[in-house]
Amino acid sequence: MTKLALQAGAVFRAHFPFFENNPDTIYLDSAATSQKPHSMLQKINHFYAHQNCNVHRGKYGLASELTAEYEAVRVKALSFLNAADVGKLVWTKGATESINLFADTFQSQLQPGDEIIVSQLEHHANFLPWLELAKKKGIVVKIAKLDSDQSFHEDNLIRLISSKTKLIAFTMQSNVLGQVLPAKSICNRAKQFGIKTILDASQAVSHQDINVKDLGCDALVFSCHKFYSTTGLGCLYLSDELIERLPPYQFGGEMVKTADNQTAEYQSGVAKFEAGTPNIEAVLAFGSVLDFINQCDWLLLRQHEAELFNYLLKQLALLSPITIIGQGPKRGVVAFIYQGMHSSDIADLLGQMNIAVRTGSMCAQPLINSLGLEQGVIRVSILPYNTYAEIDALISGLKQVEDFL
Amino acid sequence: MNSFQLKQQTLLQQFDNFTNWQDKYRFIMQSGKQLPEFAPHLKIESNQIFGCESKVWVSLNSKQGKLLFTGDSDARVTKGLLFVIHQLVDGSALSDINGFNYQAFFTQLGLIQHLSPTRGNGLLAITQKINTFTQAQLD
Repeated sequence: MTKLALQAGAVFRAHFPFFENNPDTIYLDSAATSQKPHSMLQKINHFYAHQNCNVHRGKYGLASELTAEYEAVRVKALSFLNAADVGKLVWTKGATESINLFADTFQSQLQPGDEIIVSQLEHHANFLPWLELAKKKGIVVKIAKLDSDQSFHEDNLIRLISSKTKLIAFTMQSNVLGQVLPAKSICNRAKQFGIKTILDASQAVSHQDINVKDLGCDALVFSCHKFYSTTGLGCLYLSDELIERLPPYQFGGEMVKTADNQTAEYQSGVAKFEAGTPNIEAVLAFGSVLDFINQCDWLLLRQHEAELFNYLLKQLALLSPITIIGQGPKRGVVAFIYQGMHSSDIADLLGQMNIAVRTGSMCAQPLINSLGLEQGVIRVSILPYNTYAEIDALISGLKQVEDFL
Repeated sequence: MNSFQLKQQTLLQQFDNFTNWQDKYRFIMQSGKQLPEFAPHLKIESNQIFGCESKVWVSLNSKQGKLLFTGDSDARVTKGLLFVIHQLVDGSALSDINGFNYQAFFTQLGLIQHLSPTRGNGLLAITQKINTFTQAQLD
């Protein structure tokens, strides 16, 4: 099985031209953005060369065909999330806009004094919108802290629930420490109390199957660029109930039904959240990525990623200056510190060796501050296209650090 | 050749000896240890350089027309860069260093191409502070 998984990883890697074009780069920064498959690049080229016009407007053949393909991607994406019969998908610019859209419209459901719970693991995109809402609307943001061993326990979140809790907004997987949260269980508990849930699947979408119906969440977001597709496109899944209850987000073309000099009536459904010309190119590209993903053997690819990740963890554990941060189940993302070294020094050295990792606070300063890691952490993140040789290169690079001290 | 030009020449000769990035980085990371101790009471906000990944403090003074430079950082690469700046400007005549193009000099040293954009920005912020201080002293 290991050999098959390894082969599946190699076949998968061959679909990504980045690696052929950058043979000297060790790319271990997929949590920041993933590489893109060749088929996606071809789709973008094909769209502009053969299909380019606007959607939802023209009555001519090309426009109708493009609109049909564009909307078919929405259906495909909903099916990918197993959410086809429980909600709808709104296209956004990315996870950040998805959460801001949700926060902006969900405030219509809130009263001063109401409470929102987040976890300490949130990145800024799922933290600052709630902080701003707290200032604007007089609501209270409660933070589920990590345990002293830097692990996340569901009970730390559940015990924050009160009669005023209206929403739990949390990540399915930490973008810094890599821990996977028990999302289904938290959503179930929230539902028992009549509390809405929004899941940030920005990291999870690349490392685990997302099954909205099984998770039982009310909303879910991710950025497509972390999942093999382009930048500039995000997904916001909303339950049918929320689609009905939430007001429009931005105002302008496409989301309006009728308008005169004094009044306007707006569209219902997802259209009320999608003002203006959308990112057609990115939606079509995402459609091609979903086709590509559906053709892959994910049982083998997930196995390859898990084995590679275990190898990475074991090799890191052998290096005495390194301390891994955060306990609990992890997938594809790990953070560590190097004793006596600022994370930026390690990044500079690895950078000189063409090893791409992230360092600093990874857009999660509240988390890094809570851990008392003011010199930041070094984050290594993999996807199934990575190889054992790349992990070896990283470990070799880390071993060389001592030569510079 | 004044003493400031002599210091430039010394540094250029020193960096000329480095044949690869490893030698350059080893020198930078180790030379920070030779920086004179930065007094803890000087680690105040007005001495802090922002825009860097790491914490950086720079204190500037002048005495008898000469610049007195001290600096510190919690990152080794930055501390090494502070050492290079210290070697260059500490004790130099304000009139000699006024308006000096540090960016061009660090490029000549072959340092800029080995620095990340945030490090480069941090370096620029430090040298801007020196130029602003020097100009103000001479006005």
